[in-house]
Amino acid sequence: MYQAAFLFIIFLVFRVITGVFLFGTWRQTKKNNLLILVLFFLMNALNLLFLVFGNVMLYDIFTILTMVVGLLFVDRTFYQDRKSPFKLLLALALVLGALTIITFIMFDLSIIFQQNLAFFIHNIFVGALFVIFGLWSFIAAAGSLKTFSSSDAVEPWVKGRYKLVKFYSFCIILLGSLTPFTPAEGTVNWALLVILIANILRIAGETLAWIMPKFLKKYFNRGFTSPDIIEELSEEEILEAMK
Amino acid sequence: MNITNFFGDHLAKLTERRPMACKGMIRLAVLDKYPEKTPDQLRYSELKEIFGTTLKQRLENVNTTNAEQISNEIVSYLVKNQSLLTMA
Repeated sequence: MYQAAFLFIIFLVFRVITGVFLFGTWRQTKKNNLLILVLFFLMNALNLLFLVFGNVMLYDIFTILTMVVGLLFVDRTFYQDRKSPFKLLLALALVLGALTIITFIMFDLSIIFQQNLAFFIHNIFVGALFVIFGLWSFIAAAGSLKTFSSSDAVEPWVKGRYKLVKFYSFCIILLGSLTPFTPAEGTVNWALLVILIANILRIAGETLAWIMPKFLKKYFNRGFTSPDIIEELSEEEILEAMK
Repeated sequence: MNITNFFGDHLAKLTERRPMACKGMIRLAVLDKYPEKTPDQLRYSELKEIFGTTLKQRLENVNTTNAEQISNEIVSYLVKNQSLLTMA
């Protein structure tokens, strides 16, 4: 894994850029769930640093914490005052997190299980954490998009952002599902290659979704005419029209 | 995204009034509660409060039938679409 340090550093740079950009947006809007997303990206960047230095224990701990922060973002952005599975998913993530750490210690010390088996079980728990977060993020974005997809008041670039969230959530599900199949001994197999591609697509998707460049906004908005208020009515006219 | 347009269109469906007037009502309701803010600067909790108080009051002032029910429906529309306040 550590031979891929150069790639991890590129990923890390993209996470930091996205986090810093979102921090700027938060400073303008003061919408606190953006701050949770900033934390998510910066923790993810730190996590990649642990991977670069080969500290799997800290990587595991930060993966668990990052997923919890990710779940919190989905809850605060999509599920305020609504029935939310947040507490259930949080409990599940914490249980999986504890099992991840226990199996890593077993792997590290080679106790009870054979090393390969311990590594495989450890990866099932780590992968499940990604799947839980990715799946909920996908469901939340898809459900919301469905409710306003036919509304002309929502600009196409906003709908595009939801589609990008769906896309990168799918990549997270894919990489989580394939994590158990990664090899233990630093070799490369098909699962690792697919995970690598899914990770590149995920990071590209997240970066484009949250730092949507103007050209992409223009591309999504092509042919769209804004239904902005073209006729400013006075208070009297508004009240008269409402009677 | 223009919050006034999005919720104004929905208010127009609920009240069967002109969308332009309903967008104006949203603007006025926002001004009543947060005169220093534009609708797009509002957080979810602030917008929810506006729909439940000043918008409802404005609807009652113009003798809208079922003002309470309309206010509840627009709040529930906001709850359903709350992510737009972050994503847009």
